[in-house]
Amino acid sequence: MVKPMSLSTVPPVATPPERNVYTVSRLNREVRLLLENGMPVVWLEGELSNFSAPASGHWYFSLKDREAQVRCAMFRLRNMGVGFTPKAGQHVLVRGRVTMYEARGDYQLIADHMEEAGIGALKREFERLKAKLAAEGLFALERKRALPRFPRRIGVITSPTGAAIRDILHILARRFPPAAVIIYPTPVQGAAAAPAIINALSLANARAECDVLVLARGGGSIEDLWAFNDERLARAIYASALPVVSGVGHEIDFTIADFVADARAPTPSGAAELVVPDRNACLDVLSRTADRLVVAMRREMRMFTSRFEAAALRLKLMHPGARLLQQEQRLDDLEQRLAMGIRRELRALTARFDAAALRLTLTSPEARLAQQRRRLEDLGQRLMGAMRGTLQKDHRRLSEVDARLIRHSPERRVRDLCLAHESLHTRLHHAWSSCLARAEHRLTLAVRSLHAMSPLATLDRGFAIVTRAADGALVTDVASVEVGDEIDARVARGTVRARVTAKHNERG
Amino acid sequence: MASDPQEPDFEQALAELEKLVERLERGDLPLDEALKAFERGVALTRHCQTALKSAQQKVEILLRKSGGQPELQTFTGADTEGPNGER
Repeated sequence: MVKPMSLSTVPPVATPPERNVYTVSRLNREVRLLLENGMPVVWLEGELSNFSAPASGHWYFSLKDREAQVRCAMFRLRNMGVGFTPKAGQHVLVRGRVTMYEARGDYQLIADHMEEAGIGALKREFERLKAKLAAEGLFALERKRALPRFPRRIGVITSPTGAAIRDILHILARRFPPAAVIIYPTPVQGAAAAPAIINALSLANARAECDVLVLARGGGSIEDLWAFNDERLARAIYASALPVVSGVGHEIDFTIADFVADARAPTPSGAAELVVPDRNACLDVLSRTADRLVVAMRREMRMFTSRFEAAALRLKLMHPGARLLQQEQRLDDLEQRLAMGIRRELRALTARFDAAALRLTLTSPEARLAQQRRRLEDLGQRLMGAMRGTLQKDHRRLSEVDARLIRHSPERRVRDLCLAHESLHTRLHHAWSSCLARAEHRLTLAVRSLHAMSPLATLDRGFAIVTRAADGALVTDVASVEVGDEIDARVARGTVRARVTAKHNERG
Repeated sequence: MASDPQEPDFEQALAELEKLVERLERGDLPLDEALKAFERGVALTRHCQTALKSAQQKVEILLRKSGGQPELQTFTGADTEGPNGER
């Protein structure tokens, strides 16, 4: 609303010369000239308020800080070059000249340049870098490395003084003390922080003495944490051979380092919890594994015993005595078949004889009958004689076979085998018994040593595990129960419920 | 990474233990080997339990001694606020 200067229409009032009376217009004009000539071009940073953009296209607004404010104007031709739409509350940096709006007597800044200042610019830069690195694949899930389940050494890249390292060491000592810690000290704030952190990262990688790295810093403002939004740092984390876990303060949502790290936590403590397992969970796993060992070994012993018994039974079945019986049976069989064969032969011969005899009787004229009967009888005698001879020969053969069979009887061999078997069987039995006894002894010792490690074993020695009946919490301190509370005391073979009737504090 | 008795390799110990239990549970080992596996399992369990229960946290810091190579030194403790108020 700067308007061309208009001359006052009121003529100066005649006054005594000693009084130099100004008109309002003149005062404002002279102050304006004073301001315009006396003030250089200024850069001014402040928070936008009372922003208005009327139809003329000009912008009118105030810039303020905590204690003061100043009116500003930015004309259309100038504000067309501003790459964002100003909003109330936004921090901006403007360049302009100081002047006076004479019509109101307000002094004001005529701005010719405006940019986002402070956090606004940082946030924009953050978004730009985030989009760029995401497009390059630095945040891709598939390239994130798995963290070791049980790190032996954990590298911590942070300031050696301050809350972050204290919190991390505290959590690591509580959860998993076997993991050693190496601190790679570095500033985590200020202009030198980003290069120093990159240096620590490459040092840790070159020394390769850790399984995992934690990059941490306590909470702070966006400016405090700015080192963790550094593009070079993001690339160094990406290039790290060791997996990196970020734990950078929680006052803003993310840093670029969080996106590129293999795992992120919102605090240094959270990062410490991510890199180690819980010791008690490990002990649980171990005792479950020990139980499985004992169960499997018991079953194994049972299985070996029953396998032995089955083997002993099979051996008994293969005893030579059993084989002898089989051979005897075979001999009987052979004899029987031989006798049957001879009997069949005899029957056939007899049949032929009877048939021949019949034919003889059928061709008998009375006269020759007697003579022929004699011949017949004679033939019959000879036939019988011959037959008898044949039969005797067959009997002899049968006897010979019999004698040969008896000579070759396996009986003696069977006796030898029997003796050898008995001795083997005895030796096997001895060997198995002593082997089993040794194994059982070793099993007992091993089970006992497992048992000795169990807290329950101490119950047998008169100790008790005391828990609060209300919530099952372990009572390790007199302060954790109150008179009147119910408690459970776990002793050998059971639990006793009791009520606290008195408390005695021990001093020491 | 040096194998230091102070820093037992739980990953390896648990993996071995798991394998022993599985072999034993499969039930196809000769008796003597089964017993050996069992005893090795008990020893490993005991070793890990002892290490977990008795371990003390060991903290070192890598510091550069006036111009020389950086060296690991025992870390004595984090004081509260750093000189620059770093957290």
